[in-house]
Amino acid sequence: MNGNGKLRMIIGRLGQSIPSVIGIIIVTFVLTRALPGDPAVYFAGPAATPESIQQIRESLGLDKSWPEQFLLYVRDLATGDLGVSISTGFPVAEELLRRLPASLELTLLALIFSISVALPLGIAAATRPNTWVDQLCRLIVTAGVSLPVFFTGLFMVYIFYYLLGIAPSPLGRLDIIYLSPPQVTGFYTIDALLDGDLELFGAALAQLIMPAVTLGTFTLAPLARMTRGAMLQVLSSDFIRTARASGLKRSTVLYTYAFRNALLPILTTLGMVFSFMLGSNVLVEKVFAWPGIGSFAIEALIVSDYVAVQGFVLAMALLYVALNLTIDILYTLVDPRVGLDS
Amino acid sequence: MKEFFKHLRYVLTENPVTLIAGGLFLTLVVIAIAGPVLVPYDPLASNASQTLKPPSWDHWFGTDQLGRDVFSRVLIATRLDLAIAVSAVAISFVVGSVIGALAGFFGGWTDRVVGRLTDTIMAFPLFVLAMGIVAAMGNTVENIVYATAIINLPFYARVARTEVNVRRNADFVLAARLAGNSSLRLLATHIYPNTLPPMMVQVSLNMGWAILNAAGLSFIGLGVRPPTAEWGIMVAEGAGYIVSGEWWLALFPGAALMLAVFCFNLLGDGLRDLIDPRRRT
Amino acid sequence: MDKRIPVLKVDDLDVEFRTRSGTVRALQNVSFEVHRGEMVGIVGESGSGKSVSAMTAMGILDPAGQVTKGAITLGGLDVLNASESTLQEMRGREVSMIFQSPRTALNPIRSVGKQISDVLRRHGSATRQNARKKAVKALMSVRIPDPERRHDAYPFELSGGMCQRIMIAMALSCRPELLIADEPTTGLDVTTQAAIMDLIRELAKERNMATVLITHDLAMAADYCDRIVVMHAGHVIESAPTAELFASPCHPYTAKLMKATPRGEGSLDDIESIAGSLPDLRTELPPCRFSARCERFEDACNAPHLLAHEATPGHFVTCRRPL
Repeated sequence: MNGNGKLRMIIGRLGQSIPSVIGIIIVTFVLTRALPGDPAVYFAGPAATPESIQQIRESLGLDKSWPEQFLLYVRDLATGDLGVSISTGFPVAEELLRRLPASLELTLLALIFSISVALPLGIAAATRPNTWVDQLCRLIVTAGVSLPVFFTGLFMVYIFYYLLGIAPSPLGRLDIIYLSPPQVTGFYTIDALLDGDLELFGAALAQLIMPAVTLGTFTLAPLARMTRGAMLQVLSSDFIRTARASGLKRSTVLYTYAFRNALLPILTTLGMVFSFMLGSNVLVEKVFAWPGIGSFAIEALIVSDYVAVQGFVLAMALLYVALNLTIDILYTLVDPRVGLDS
Repeated sequence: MKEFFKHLRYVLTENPVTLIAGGLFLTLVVIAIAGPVLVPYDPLASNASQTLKPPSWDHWFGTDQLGRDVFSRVLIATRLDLAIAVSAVAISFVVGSVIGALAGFFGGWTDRVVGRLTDTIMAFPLFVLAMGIVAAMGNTVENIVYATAIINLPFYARVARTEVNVRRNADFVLAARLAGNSSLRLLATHIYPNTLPPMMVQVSLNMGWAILNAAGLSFIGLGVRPPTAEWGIMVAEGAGYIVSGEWWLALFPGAALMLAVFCFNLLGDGLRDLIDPRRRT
Repeated sequence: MDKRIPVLKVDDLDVEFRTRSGTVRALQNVSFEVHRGEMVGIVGESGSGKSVSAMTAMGILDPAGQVTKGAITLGGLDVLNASESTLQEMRGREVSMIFQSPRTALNPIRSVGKQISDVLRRHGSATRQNARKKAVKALMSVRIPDPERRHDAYPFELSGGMCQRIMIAMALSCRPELLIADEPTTGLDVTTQAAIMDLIRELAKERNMATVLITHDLAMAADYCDRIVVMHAGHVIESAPTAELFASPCHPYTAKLMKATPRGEGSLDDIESIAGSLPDLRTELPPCRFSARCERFEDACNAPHLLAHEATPGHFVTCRRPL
């Protein structure tokens, strides 16, 4: 498959995600405008008077017909206007953007942790069937699927912070004595490094470890299970026999031949894993008081700040679409057979 | 029939884990039904002199910040948690499997519409969608059920669609059609019942996830309000006390959650072993 | 008696498989030799142990399999007692194997040229710089048209015949002394079959390479092989130079096999099938495993210690009542 063909395929994939985006926009619209009750009351907030409700109704165009409202909604979205949060008074889009780096830093580290444990574990379990490694893998998978992520988080705090005292207090991204580093990426770890402040880097990392491990442990299970399963299947296929018969080194057979082929179903699993991860993000942020978009949404829910919640749902959904697209593209790059039917 | 029991006995003995899961499941059901009778203390009764006491002979799971007996609360919460999960899965299953069956049988527009619906739901990270739905519909326990049901819908729709599709052109269907059955009747009385066994496996596996979902929603403050005893909200309330070392408020409801989910997952696996060889006879 | 040292010598080999339903005695007292420059055909029904013998000789036997007796020497190396790293060095370099279903036997997501390069670089026959050039040369040697472009092709883009040529190119890239071809033409159409076999024969002659052709097609073995080894149910029941075998088969099974093989002449009615089927190798079996299906069976056939004997020079048979 030459470069041109791949590019065309990627553009095609981009096109395929458009219906999803449309669906997301429609659903978020329906969720706040078309459900039982008077949306104006929701948007005005709990402390509203009949006058302010009427004001809101007019300013948000809630007295117009649904198709008109929808068009207004889409227009607002196109300009990045997600409304104003009644709890903070700031535009929702601004709030989300400000808090996004915190969530991304957490999720990214969790993903790295998850992958770097799940993949080797799955490969080891597949190449050493019925040994302790294999049993360990199966145990982790079963436990991981049953444990509620907030439970794991809390108990990590109990053991590592309260009992053993080796983890810092679970109160956010940095201990109070530190000032956040000058903003470049929004990731405290990277910004601290860029600023040359190693102590700050260490402090930021220390706060990150427990929430990231908690989040990562949850996604570990399906990944490890799929890695093991995919590897087992690939290792028994004909071309592996040919590779061994050609005298290729064990590492070549395992990684260049077996693992790359196993990567395909693993990538597919990753899509599902992202769904869990984005959802669990919210729970982990609550347990560790992490100031990301998840805790923003929770606070908004408590004070019935529906505009903010809607903005959050929309943002998360779009993020998910982007992540799935990335996986699709990665899949296309790994598998030369893809896209022949189009 | 005898075949079935012989096979059942084989699966249960071959896999003692399934037996344990089955026993656990029955225990949970008994606790859920008989909860109010089994509890040693009133789960809602607070006792200012007995706050934050660690587990002891009097209070097996200790007491919480209001002096309530944690063991009683955990026990009584079984009923609510299971009820939420069961109703959510039931709604999800009924609606999902029906629309999936229709899509798989008739194809064409039905299939496309159902496909769009499930794809749209699955375009969201599911827990986030549940949050959005509860926020929009109102913060009540019923809406927790509906939200959980909606996000599980695609699951059942897809399984039903595949199973019906596979059987659509089977010989027994052809025979029934020749006997004069209308399409819908065919679907309802012949095909659909045949798809139930593999779908039961999905139901069991899904139940565990539904429980986790509902608990997650109540953990972040949706649906259930204090002083109701529910595992998720109990963990949330206990969370604040972990840093000061009072672990029992959060551990026991969390462990109960884990046990329930574990039980359903094992049951699902065992059911799959039971159903599998008899599939597509 | 051939005084040359054989490239491959399998001596009195016994192989067992441990399965859930019992121990399968897959091979018993299997012996044969292959010399430089000759093509030896191993012929028999499916399940007769032909592939197992080859896999054992390469050292890539399934982990469930165990060698319980015997020796295998390959180019002087004691295969059964060699370390895995020694065997890895040997595979692809001194001995190579090609398989049936060439499309699935190649890595589906790696270009065929890269797969050849992998083998070349592994055995030190190429460096990263010249790997591509050498791979293209290998493609040329198996008569693949437009080798430069085909180098970057993937197996799914190529026909079955082309994929088999690729496998041959891979196998012969490091100039091994022995090529084992396990049913290389099964699944290919007749014209392609002939083309592939002609290619193998030509390359073998060019390089004075020893070849083992494993097949269930007796006619094909007759056309290409110098010697034929006939296997049945894990036993070598007869081995002889091809012409000799067809002129005067000694074992009843061989004779029946010939009668069951269509030869392109004569009518379909002339073909006789062999009664019965392969015995269950998990059970306790008589010394001659063909007993149940043999018309010449007598009580004397059950005498233990049934070994091969030389009927005429170079012609070995394992039978109490040879023809």
